[in-house]
Amino acid sequence: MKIGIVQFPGSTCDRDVFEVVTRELGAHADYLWYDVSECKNYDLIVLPGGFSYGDSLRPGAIAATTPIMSEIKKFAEKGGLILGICNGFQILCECQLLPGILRENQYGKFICHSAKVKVEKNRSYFMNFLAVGDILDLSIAHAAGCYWAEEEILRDLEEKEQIVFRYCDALENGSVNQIAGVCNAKGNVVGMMPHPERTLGFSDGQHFWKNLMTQVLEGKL
Amino acid sequence: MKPTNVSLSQDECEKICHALAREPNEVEWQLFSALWSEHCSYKSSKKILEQLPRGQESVLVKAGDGNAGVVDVGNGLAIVFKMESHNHPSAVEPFQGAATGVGGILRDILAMGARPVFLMDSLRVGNLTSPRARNHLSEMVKGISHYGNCVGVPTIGGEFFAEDCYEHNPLVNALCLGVVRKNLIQKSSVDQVGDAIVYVGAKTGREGLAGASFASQVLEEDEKNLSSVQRGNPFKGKCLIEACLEIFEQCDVVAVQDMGAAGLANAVAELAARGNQGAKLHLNRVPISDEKLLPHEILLSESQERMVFVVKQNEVKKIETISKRWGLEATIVGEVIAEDEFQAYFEKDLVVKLPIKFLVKGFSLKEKVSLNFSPKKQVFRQKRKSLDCHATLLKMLALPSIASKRWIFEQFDYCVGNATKVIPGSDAAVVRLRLDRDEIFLAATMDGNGWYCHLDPFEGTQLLVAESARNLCCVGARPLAVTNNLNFGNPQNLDRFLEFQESVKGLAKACCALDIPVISGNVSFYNESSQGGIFPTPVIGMVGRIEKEKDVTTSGFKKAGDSIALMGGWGEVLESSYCDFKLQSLASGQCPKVFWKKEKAVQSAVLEAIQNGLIKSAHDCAEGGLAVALAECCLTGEKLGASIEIDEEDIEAVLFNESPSRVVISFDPTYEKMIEKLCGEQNVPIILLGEVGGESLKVCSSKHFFEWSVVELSIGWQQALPRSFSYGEEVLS
Repeated sequence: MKIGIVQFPGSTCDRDVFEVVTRELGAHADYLWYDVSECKNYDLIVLPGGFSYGDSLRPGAIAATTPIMSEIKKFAEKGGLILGICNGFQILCECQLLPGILRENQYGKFICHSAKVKVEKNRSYFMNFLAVGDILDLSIAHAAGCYWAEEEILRDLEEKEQIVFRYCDALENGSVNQIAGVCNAKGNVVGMMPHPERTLGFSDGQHFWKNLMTQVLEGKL
Repeated sequence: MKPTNVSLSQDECEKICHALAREPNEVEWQLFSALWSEHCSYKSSKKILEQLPRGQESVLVKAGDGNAGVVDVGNGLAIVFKMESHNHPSAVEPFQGAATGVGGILRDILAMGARPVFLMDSLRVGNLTSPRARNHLSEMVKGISHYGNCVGVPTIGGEFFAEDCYEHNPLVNALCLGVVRKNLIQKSSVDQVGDAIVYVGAKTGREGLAGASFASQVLEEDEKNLSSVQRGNPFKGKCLIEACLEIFEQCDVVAVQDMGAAGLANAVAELAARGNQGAKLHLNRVPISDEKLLPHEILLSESQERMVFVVKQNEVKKIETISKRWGLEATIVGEVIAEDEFQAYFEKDLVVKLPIKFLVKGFSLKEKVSLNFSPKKQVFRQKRKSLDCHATLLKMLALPSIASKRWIFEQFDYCVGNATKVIPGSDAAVVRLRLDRDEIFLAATMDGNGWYCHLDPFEGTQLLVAESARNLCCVGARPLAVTNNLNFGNPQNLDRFLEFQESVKGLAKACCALDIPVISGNVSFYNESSQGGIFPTPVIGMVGRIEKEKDVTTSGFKKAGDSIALMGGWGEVLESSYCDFKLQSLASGQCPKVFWKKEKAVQSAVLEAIQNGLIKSAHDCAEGGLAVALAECCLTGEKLGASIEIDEEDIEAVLFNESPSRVVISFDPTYEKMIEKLCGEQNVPIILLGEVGGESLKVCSSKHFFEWSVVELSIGWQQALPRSFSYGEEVLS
């Protein structure tokens, strides 16, 4: 199992993802610096959370224009698996690998607490290690987690089962339809606001990675 | 000609002219003014601070010897921690003031070679009914959130108080802890002549000019102070952290220092003076963001996110490459010279040529004052009214200082780093440090109590240290070391200086009693304005080690049917408690006193009981006494009630007195005898209070019965802070 973890200046959760997948679960992981133009041979690419480029302009806007993202687009086209977490989700939306955008929290402030997240019936075969209806207790921490898309797109997302996670309760972020994570039409690119790499005190975090990796390894994808 | 904005005394000016045998030029005057400011020189506090215990071999870098103290934690690892205040900037511009306070303390830790692991904050503002105080708090929290979250260092705890005396002088004290492999601990003194002085980080601009002098004066309501406030860029800050850590790993670094107070000049002068050498700077090589900067402005600018490295000339290339990768400037700005001089060139002119030791240490230190201090208790005494216990507990829980701090800490990313074992809201925060194979657990707490230090700074400071250590024991940790931030008024006022002196005496006594070294600290004087001054407010940061993960204990009740007991006895004095101060508006009284023998016995009994796996929760009795402690045990855990029996005459005193050395514990009833035996051996009084369970907290005695539903307790406690803000919005609209 080979995982690529993308690093932008300002990424802050890169080391946490690295520790969990290598130290806790024994996978091989490489850091991929934003200016490299090579991301082949990875079973999974993770775009970790943080404040890439200090959220300059909009969260994820600058990162979306970096060389590695052009490579990641190609990787996605070929069906490569990509998981964006928090700022990673924002970047995937900014470079249109995922529909919609993430706006500033309705509450107007950064929020950090644990949140219950429900797994929806979704078309991401890549997430099917999670049973529909499962409830995960995960950490959330963001200033711009208000998912938003136009009515039409939202309807489309619901119909095509592209909503992967929903918050069990309406959060201060004001995310539309309580959306916490979505996937692309093909199902190989997933973005989520909660942080599954925060495993200390969140046992569902470790289960998430463990099952994800088992699934990838067993070649079910 | 001496410029008008130079803040040096007549004596100091004469001393300078005499030592130089000439009058300094304008740039040189500015340097003396900044480096001899209280903020940089510690000239009023240094002699007093000498009495603090600095520790033995386990303290690898002692207080005053580096940018922050370093403690060995075994396995080839060491921890570095320190506290710093940003009170003056936060009074003028609370968002940037607090944000750059966080940035500054991060770089002090970084300068020791350590990766920052966590942050904590101690905040004090005026009463939250005041719009100014609300603005201070919300902007400070936003500032800390802005900086801390963005650099990816979790803010795992802290403390907050709202009192009238902080209305015009709010306090922001930030603590940072970092971890470093012992072989990578960095030095802060130059070594050999010819070594390059390399500037790494953001460009130098006009921000924070004369910040050191500004922080060394009484605050005045004056817009022009705004230019003394630094502006932080956490994105650059994060890049600087990563770049420096790479440089430490990959380059042969002689010394490194953060450019903090008094900027480039202070950093370079200190580096050189500590190594008994001189330094030469070429100011035109300094990366600047404003073409019009004058030589003294380049030297003294407090622009953020900048470090100075001293390296061999052949290492410079590597530093440049790493810095560039992180989007930072890296330039040779000077070199180490053999002459004991601080020299600076600007456009080929030698604009500064000063004896370096004199520049860094030439000021006179204030001597200890040998006068007896009289605590406030002798001022006057009011008759206290009797309390309605039911209403009092609800009122106490809704005081912003006691209420849940969720509104604050949920704006901080307290989980990034995946190291937060116990989240904010317990007696102390707990983090996991991962080494190559092993894990170690550390606990940290911050405590201050202006009210008690106002009554008696000597006893009050001891209470604080005792409480910090007790908090650590309650989560299962043995205290390792202390840092502190001493927030006081104008030291030129004899009463204020005596308060400071008494407080340091108390700190020294307490740390010696507990045998814990003080490894770092900060002094903030001049927390006064024309509207008055603050209570003497020393704030203690204490870090302890938890031997095994299973020992991590929290304050909340865990299971219905568990027994509840109070270790340390009923306590005594109710008068002059925080409760009386807040609800009865007392202005004087007698500060409780720590009896160290008892305190140490209670702490060791709690720790032993935890390590033997006998207890499920432990919570220190502090502000609001036993009643508030019990309520918090109900509110912070599984939201369980409790039934308590108190067979004492004076129920008010039992419930609300704030005597130290007391801890509420809960445990499986089968361990009762073992716990009693353990307490007996340590000579610790233990009183069985009742049991966990139900949906309310019930307290009965032969004459009284009180009942509070957990829901009722939680409303005021949860809502106090958010409600202060919604109330504020109504008033404003």
